This record gives sequence, structure tokens and C-alpha cells, in this order.
Amino acid sequence: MPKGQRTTRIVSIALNTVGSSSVAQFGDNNATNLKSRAIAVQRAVANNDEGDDVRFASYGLFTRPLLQLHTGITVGTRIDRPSPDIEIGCIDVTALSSSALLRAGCGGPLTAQTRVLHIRHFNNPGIR
Amino acid sequence: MMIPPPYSLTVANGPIKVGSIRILGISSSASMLLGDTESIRLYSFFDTPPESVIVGPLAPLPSLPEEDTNA
Repeated sequence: MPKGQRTTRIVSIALNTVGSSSVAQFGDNNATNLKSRAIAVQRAVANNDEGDDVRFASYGLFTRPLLQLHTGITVGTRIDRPSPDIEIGCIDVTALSSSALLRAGCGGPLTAQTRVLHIRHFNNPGIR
Repeated sequence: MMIPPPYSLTVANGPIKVGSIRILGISSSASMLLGDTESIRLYSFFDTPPESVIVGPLAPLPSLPEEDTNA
């Protein structure tokens, strides 16, 4: 558990939609890792039939490595004194989507990635 | 003998009191955090290949073939 544990008090929550690898967390957690991919083709008739192109492996976007921040500096962190509680009145959220996180409380490392692509061919003569 | 790290960060947590929050949407690797955290890494990619670019202000929907409309 992260060093700074805290008690979270919330009066009311109105949450409409939590979709595609999203998380609504109330309270502490250790680590969060969210991943969402997608392709979303919407095609009439494709002129260039490249074979089976609706696979993640067909596109470099889905295999591109995640950039990491390397500062080369080590920082010693110390939590000064027991952390007071978190008090929240009301939370009203309409939607969480594609690797989104809503958290009321403490947490460890958070990593979230979203990749889409979204191809749209139309086979009208005037439009390629 | 343990060599202390060159930089040290002391976190003094004050109380967190929030009245009310109204949010329409949190999307594409975004996050809304109320409380402490250690590290955050958020990545969002969106890539449409050039051949699916539509020339013109609006994206026209393909018209339905004749026989379907009478069915």
C-alpha cells in the first residue's frame, strides 16, 4: 500500500457511464494500469484490397513503444505526518471512456494508454 | 554504508475538502484524481492513415442503392 493512506468520505456520487477500460475508484489503491486499443473501420468498398488489414499487427501504431521519462536523478520521498482525511461533497460525472480514471483517494503509479486508428474509406468516384 | 539519494522530497499532506464537482467527460487516457499519487504516465495515440482522408468540409454518407429503399 502507498505510504500515505487516507480515509475518503464522499456525500454523493452521480456517475452515468464508465466505458472501454476506464476505472472509477473511491478509496486508496496500489497501482493502476489501463489499456485501450480500437480500430473502427467504417468502409463502403475499399479500392485497395490490402488483404486482412483489420488486425492490430497490421499497423505500427499499436506496436510503437511507450516513451519513458529518464531524469537520472533519484529522489528520496518521505510522508511527513499521518495524512488527514479526504472529504468530498458531491461528484457528478457524465462519462468516463477509453482508459480514463476517476479516483478519490491515494494511489501508487498510474499508467494509461489509448490507441485508436479510425479508418474511413468511401467508394464515391469524387472521393478517394 | 547506505548513500542517501542526492534529492529528498518531504510530503506534508494537508486536509482535502471539496464541495462539489461537475464533469461532462473524462476520456482518452485522462484522469481526475482527488488525493495523493506517486507517478502518472498517460499516453494517447490517434492515427488515421492518409487514404481515408475525405476532401471537403463535410463527410458525405454513401447513398443507399435504389432497390433497398423500396424493400
